[in-house]
Amino acid sequence: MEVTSDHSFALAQAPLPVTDAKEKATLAAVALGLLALLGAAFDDDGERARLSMYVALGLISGGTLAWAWYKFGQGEAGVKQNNLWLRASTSRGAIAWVTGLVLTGFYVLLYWFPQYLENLIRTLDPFSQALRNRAADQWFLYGTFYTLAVLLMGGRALWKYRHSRYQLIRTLSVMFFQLGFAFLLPGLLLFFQQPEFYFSYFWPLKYDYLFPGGVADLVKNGGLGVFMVFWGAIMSLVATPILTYFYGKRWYCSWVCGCGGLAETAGDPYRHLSDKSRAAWRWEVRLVYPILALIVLITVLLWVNQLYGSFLGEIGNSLNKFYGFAIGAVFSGVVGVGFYPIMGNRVWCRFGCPMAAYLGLLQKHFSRFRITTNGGQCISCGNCSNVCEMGIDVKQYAQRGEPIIRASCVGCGMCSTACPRGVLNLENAPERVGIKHRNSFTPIRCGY
Amino acid sequence: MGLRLRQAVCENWIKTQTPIHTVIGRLKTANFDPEFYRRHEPAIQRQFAEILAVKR
Amino acid sequence: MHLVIIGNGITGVTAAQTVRRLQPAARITLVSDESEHHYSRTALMYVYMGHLRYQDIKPYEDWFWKENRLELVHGTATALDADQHQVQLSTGQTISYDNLLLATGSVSRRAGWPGQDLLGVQGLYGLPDLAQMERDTQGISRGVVVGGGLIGVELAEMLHTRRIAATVLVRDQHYWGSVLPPEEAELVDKQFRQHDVDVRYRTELREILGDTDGRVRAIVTSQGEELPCQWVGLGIGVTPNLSLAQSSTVETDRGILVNELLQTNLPDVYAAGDCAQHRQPGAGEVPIEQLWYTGRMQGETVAHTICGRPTPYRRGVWFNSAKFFNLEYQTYGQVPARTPTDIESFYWQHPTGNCALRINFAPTPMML
Ligand SMILES: Cc1cc2nc3c(=O)[nH]c(=O)nc-3n(C[C@H](O)[C@H](O)[C@H](O)COP(=O)(O)OP(=O)(O)OC[C@H]3O[C@@H](n4cnc5c(N)ncnc54)[C@H](O)[C@@H]3O)c2cc1C
Ligand code: SF4
Repeated sequence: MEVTSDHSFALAQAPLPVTDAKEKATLAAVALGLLALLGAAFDDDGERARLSMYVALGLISGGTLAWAWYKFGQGEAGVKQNNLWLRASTSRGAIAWVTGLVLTGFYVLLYWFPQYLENLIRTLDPFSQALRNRAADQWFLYGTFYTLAVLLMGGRALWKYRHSRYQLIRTLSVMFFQLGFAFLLPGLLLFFQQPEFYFSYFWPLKYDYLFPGGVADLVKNGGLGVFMVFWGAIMSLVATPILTYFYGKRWYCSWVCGCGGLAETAGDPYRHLSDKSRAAWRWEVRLVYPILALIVLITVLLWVNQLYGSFLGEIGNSLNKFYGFAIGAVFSGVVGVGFYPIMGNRVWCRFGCPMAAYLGLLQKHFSRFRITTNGGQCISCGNCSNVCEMGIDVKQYAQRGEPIIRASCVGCGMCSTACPRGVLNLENAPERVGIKHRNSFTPIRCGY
Repeated sequence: MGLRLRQAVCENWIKTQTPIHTVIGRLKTANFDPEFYRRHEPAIQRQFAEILAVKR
Repeated sequence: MHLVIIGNGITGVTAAQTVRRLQPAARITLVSDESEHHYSRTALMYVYMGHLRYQDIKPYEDWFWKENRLELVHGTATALDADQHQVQLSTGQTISYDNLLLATGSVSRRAGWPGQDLLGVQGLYGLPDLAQMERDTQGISRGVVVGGGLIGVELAEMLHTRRIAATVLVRDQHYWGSVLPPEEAELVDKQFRQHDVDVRYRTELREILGDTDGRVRAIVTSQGEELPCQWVGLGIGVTPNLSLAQSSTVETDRGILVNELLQTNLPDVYAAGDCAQHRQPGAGEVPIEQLWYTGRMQGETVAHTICGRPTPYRRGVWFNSAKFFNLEYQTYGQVPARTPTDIESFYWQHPTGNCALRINFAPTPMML
């Protein structure tokens, strides 16, 4: 037999099936749309820029939906992963790097140089006036793009995963929460002269909601403001543990959260890029728990300052500033989304999000949720690990017949959807102990 | 075919030579389909009952 | 104790892990020629289809072997000297063993058709086959798959993802005739139709025709029809890999003969997995089991015996699973293609034809 070593085993790169004319047409529409967007960004003439913007949104939306339908909406429903690791766009090829650079660049402009986005922001003024009764700003531009991305790519996910009712309902849920709770409702609140409040974001992700300053701001607004503070506190401290106990952290991370929403829709083409190695897992633990500790510490310091006078000086505030810059902007935005095409769609959720860390601790230690494996049916094919956006090496558990109880699992259910042998299932069953292990062998060291 | 069944439950039924009525009646416990999937047990149980009725 | 295992497939690797668990001090060496590390043979198709990369189908990360003190030798075992307790390697090295496990797996079967050695004719068993398929299916328009079993449907699906038209030749009158009852086979046939695969039942391969460069140009079916194609995939099953066994006095038939402790006729030499043939298989069981699951179970069982806890191999309640394009399949217990007369069969099928359930039971008393 021919001797093949792991290192030399590289398949002659297969030429991909040519993109056919219809698919090219849909992609061309998207590309034209992006061009029109660029046009709008550089056009100082407000009227013309607005027109460009409308054309851009129309082309991008129409093109994306047409492409998604063409690629995933036709033919038989089922797992559609062909050529995933062969295409440049989804396997860290040139297209992926360009996409990553563009996204990262956009975030840099958004956070630190919004003046360059001025033309684009102005094009949204009429829309912003109608929804929020005020002029648009960079965050409104961002929110609009963000929501549009969730909706359009949500459409793609609905077509792609239409064989799985779990995925359909879950995708609709993230689309609903992004559009309703993270975009329209905060806008309407502003319209009615109320504080812009996101009912779907909680401390410690939306950390200032429980900061003394944030609370004071809300309370100023009377009854509704008080309710908002109450809602935030209850959700963070009472509802989160209870819901996580019954359903696992997925009730939030892959059903409600906006960051999760973007990851599950726009980020879906990149989910397999998350690193499954033990080394990556070590980084995860090293980063995400200290970040949770840091934000808890900052919150406590600020409250101590508030209640006992500022004898701690400015430590709390400077830490807060640092956190806002390093974690809030650089990590969650620039790296979190900008690096989608390179590091996968859950970089932020996995390595940085304090809410995910908090939910994860609850999930690991106080929850009924787990992924069960079906006896000895696993063939170690690795499809489950591949689709895990949180970088869990799912097959390590499956091939040993063990249930998966991991802090990081967001319960997206893709492993179960992708498994060709029906091995995995997400369950909230009451009993966690006494789960039968069919394969009695337990390898001696697996890390984790 | 197109359904996921729990290995532990099925094996147990086979090993203990469980009566077919019990198996059909408790089909739900063997279901391993993901959440929100359409459940087919009622249809299966109905068909089983019909066949039985014809036989009698 | 020094255990030497030939073959790093699921059988050899499971045995190695189990011995490590039972005897933490044992020295364990895995010799294998196909790949440096264990990989999942069952996932070969996903690499071709671009779902996964080669590194994704390795069940363990590379540090696993070292940390668990499993020594890996990348080379072919060419000769076995049972008297000296030694194995000769292609690298020129000789390894001595206290116990030897042969887990050499299978090789693809070929039926001796005229033209079967032409360029573009192959089976699918290992990495070299995958590389060959990658090379030989580039830019072609039609492939023919011979065999109506599990590998046959995988090959057809692989071609389908590259938009290569596929024809499948099936000897029986329906798909996987030796295992599936006709109703289930019909559901698989529906999958073939939905994926535009041209399936010819009751049809066998007669001959493969080549062009002047020695490449496949067409095949001739048992009906005498000539089908132009540029690639032929053979999915007619596998047969135990005996190349090493035959260099020694180990007794073989179709496979390496073993008793229920998975011992061969030679002292301290065991065989398990695809390559082993049971002298006395259990009732209703086949003598050669060629499955991932049985490899794993045999590997685990033989490890106990090797560690001084003689454990007879028991198959347990039969189970298996597969996937035909989008249709998943699971089976538990004995569900033969033709229901015996003393058994009743209850069959339910969803009106869409996308799922079905069959339960076989004894009519009196009515139980499984
Ligand atoms: C494409 C495909 C899909 C499959 N899908 C499924 C499935 O879905 N479910 C299922 O249950 N089964 C499936 N099988 C069958 C399953 O993969 C095999 O039964 C299983 O891999 C056998 O494992 P093994 O360890 O006994 O042998 P192998 O995996 O064959 O390992 C033996 C290894 O030993 C090496 N070797 C042999 N001789 C020597 C020597 N002299 N010196 C050094 N090395 C040597 C070989 O190169 C090989 O790497 C599939 C098989 C194939 C090919
Ligand atoms: S659980 Fe399923 S997807 Fe994961 S390795 Fe096992 S068979 Fe493959």
